[in-house]
Amino acid sequence: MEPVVQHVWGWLIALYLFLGGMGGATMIVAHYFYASKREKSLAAPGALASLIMVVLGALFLILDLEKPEKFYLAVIKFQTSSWVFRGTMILSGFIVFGALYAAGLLPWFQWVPWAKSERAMDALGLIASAFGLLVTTYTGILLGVLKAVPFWHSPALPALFVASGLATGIAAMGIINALQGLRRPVDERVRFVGYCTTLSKWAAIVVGAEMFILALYYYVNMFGPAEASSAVSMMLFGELRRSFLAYLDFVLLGAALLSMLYHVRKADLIAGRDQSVVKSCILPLGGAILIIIGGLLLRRTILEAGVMTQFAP
Amino acid sequence: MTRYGMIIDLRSCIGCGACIAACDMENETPWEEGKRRTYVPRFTFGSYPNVTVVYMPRLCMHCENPPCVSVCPTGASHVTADGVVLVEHDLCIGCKYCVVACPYDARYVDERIRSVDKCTFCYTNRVLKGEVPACDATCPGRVRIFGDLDDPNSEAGRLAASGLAKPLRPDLGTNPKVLYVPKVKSI
Repeated sequence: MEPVVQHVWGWLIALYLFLGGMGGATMIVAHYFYASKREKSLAAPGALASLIMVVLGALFLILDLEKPEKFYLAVIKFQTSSWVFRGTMILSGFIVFGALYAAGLLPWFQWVPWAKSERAMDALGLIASAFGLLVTTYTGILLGVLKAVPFWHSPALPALFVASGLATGIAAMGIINALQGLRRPVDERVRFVGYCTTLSKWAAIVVGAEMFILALYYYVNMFGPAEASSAVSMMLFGELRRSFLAYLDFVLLGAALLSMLYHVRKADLIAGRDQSVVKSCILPLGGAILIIIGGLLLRRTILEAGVMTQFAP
Repeated sequence: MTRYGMIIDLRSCIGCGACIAACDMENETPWEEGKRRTYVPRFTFGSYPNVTVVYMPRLCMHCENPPCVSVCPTGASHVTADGVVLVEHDLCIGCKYCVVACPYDARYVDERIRSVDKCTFCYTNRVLKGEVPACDATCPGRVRIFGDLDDPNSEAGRLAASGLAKPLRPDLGTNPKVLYVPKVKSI
């Protein structure tokens, strides 16, 4: 039998899943820089970018509705069994606490009372990060609970989306870090080069974890139900091969670039060599952008491989 | 309590498509776009000269444990007291989660009304008036037998109780109320 692939969720949902995953993880990394280093110059743009990503993702979700003007029904009808409803609650919590946290970090909102209290900001950042993790995980659960698509119906899918979300979130913070570093005088830049080294190391580790989960996910599905196995075949040998390989190329190349820079920079530091702008800021931008494009391609490819349950008499 | 369901006798289906036409006319489906509430795929088994052709009418299974209802964020997809799964078009926001959640590929988006749509067993337009669904009324081979599955005096109830009619993919745990009498043993 020819596999029947779901055809109702396309690019808009892929963008939503991608931006939700990346946005949630960006908040976690942004809060790390505030909580451990009090580095507002990274935490503030990171939290703001994270909010923009999630809000933009939610807009794509609303645009995908047949009746976008009635999206509020998904909130007020309180259908607690639906992961779309649960998702709107998680997104709302993230947007509220993320906005409060970002306000306390951004220079234009320093008049808010909690901006002066480090304890309050730590607590808000922790809550926003917890919601960020929920947003990132939820994007995988939304698909993972569907028995009608055996390829998606696996605990490995949320794990894969979390790993990919974290990789793209770290990459997004890498871009913010590189841009902040470029704006600074040379003597201040060293600090950002140090952060860049940390972020590059994290990105490479998380991409490694993502590849491990991906391999397990595919291997198990290959020997799973016929629909799941045909979805894997479509990605490895069929019509989705090109986009799947593009995803792998982008993410692996990005991680390799960041990993290489991490080692070069470490060697530079040990040898006392100058941290050039190119090495410290421009090249990491390339690696981060590749990982982010890869994250989007992953969501799109997984959606396109949604082979539905099949029946024969 | 009434528990509406349908028995489909695959031994009698000749694939004439009268049920599809009757449904399209009765429910004004967007059939021009290839979207229908019921359809009849053909399956061929074996090789010449031992060939079997099976026509398998498909429609919403009106599950007792419908995944489309539990995933709906607005309550638009709901089950009536007599077990018919319906979509309230005014409440449907068109998130399409139910379309992806239905393991039986029974739902589609009707762009004319910007809502998800599916088979209703002709609930409001025929069943509540004491008639059977249009597909059942039209079928020349008595393939589709609609009725109360819990009523031992109805043909549908007797067939359901006989164990001859079986659900599709019981492993999915959806408990469909559309049951098939198989033509070949593999169902």
